[in-house]
Amino acid sequence: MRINKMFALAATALTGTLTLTGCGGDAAESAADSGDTPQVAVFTASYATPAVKLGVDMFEDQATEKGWEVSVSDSANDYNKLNAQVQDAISRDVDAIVMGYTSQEKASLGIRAANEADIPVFAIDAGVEPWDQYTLNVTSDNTQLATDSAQAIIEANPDGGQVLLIGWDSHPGIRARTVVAEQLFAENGFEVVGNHQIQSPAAAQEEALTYVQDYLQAHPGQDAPEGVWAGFDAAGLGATQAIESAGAQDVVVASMNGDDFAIEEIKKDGPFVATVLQDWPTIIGKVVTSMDTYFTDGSRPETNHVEVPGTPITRENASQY
Amino acid sequence: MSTAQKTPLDENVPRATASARTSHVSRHSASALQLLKSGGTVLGFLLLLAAFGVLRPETFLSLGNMRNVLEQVAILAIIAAVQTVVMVVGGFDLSVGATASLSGAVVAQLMVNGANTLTAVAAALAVGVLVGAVNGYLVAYLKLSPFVATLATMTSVSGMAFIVTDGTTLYGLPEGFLGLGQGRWLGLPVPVFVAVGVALIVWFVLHSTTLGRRWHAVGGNDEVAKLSGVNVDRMRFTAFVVAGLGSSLAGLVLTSRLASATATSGDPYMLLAIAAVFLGMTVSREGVANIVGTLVGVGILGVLSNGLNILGVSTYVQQFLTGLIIVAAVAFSRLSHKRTS
Repeated sequence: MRINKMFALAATALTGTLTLTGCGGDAAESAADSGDTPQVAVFTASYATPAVKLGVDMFEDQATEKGWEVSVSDSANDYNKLNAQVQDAISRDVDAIVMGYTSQEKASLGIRAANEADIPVFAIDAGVEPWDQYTLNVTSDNTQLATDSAQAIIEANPDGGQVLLIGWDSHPGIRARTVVAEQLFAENGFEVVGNHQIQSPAAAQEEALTYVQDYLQAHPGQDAPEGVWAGFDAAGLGATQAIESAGAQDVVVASMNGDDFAIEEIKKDGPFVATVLQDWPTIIGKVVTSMDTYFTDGSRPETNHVEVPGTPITRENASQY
Repeated sequence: MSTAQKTPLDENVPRATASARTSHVSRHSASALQLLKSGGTVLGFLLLLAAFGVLRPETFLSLGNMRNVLEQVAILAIIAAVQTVVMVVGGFDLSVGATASLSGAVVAQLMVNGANTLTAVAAALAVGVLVGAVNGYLVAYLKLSPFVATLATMTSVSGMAFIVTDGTTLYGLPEGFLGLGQGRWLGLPVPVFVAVGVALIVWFVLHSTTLGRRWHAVGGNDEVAKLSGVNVDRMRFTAFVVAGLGSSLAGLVLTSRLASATATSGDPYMLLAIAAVFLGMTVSREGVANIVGTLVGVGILGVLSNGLNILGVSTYVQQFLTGLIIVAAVAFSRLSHKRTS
């Protein structure tokens, strides 16, 4: 019992120390604000997603190289928390805010507050349409991503057929891609026989696997669809596994993001035939350049919404990646 | 008058008969209600099977689909089985999903970096045991509430999973390891055998061993158990360790099935496992966690998802219906329990 009490005391002391250390870190960061070094606060809601992590890390590296002081906050899909974090950054009087892959609607409270405080808000893939509250938003061209990936299925089946869609409506970009793909399939003689929306992005691969597995069970052999189009690679990988597990023939999968596991799957010459690599180096580069100009002479970009096309990756060029 | 007039005794005869009849009927209805209460969830499960069987007989009832359902629920069955153990001792574990994610991340990271498969698997299982031990210590010895303790552990374990994976998807696992989640034996997916094995072990321990009886005693009334000489703290501790070990095993199967690992892949299983155990509790007359009931709960969740997918029902409607069925089953059990008592 005495040992337990001592352990509890030690645990409490450790927690307290860690908490104080954390607070100390913040204090130290604020103290380092000399006025000459730009303070940049980056916010994201989905750092756990491979593409988001890649982009945010890339930005942090480039910004650090420029000599800026960068803090990154992830709210884990909690937008109330994200807006509060942005307001905290405004209180810290940061020099610029960067929204990474966030929803402009859900983050609007914090973004508007930043504008009111005259703090510029730059954005990485954080909205599918122009928005006057952003100083600059550089995003992937979702129409092109969806078109190129859907085109891979259409080219594999020039006579049309049936196709399953797997999207994620909560993500504005993926929702926009799904709308484009659906329209393109309809125009090319395809019937969309199922449109599944991912419930839990954390388990997207397994959810897609289960959904396609069940669909193929209900529609075996000749009734199987000609293709499965997924709004992002993790869902595409799950669909591929279901097709292989069911032994379904001539069902192709296409998705987008250009995640490394998807490229590896395309190299195998299996059902996964295409993904579209989002050009993060260009997207991040444009944001960093624009911020650098702002920090240098205070000027803001003339156009505040830029869309960058992706690169289709198929069996033909997968080995180059 | 004398013949027509009834004596108090005469009056009592039909009253007694009526009372006997009423008592007989009420005994019947009580036992029918009891049967319905204990069998209602199973009946609901059978009705679900029948409904989907009628709507899509050629697909839903096929052997291939039954195999799919078993494969799809295997991982949930493993986590729900060990969650049952924790709930038998009167607690619950919110960290089971995160532990599965962390174990999957550990095994994948080790193998991607060239570690031997057996070493990686052993390390991942050890991680699960460690998480379970921390939970057990916090709950049993430091007397933290299971909610607070396992919520905190879940958060930290989830963070550790991000650290281990560095937020990326780990892939490129050895073929030998993939057999655990993707292999077939006797025509059935290997995860099904793992789930059956875990369920049988949990069933055996809960029903036929001193450890199981002590777990039940602690869950029933820890004060009485203590007075009977049961080491209550140790029993709680071991239950959480079992949950940690089982969750890490589920994480291994999941990683093998997906041929990849992310920091969050096992997270959604936590709520589903608790839902399965709650559904299963309605199968028990006493309303306590039990492995047979848990498996029925797992079956309901699995069949519901599979059947609605086959019918082409929207994901959002599926989610709504799943919640509705859980509430209906638990509420029905509560109501009938009130009436019978």
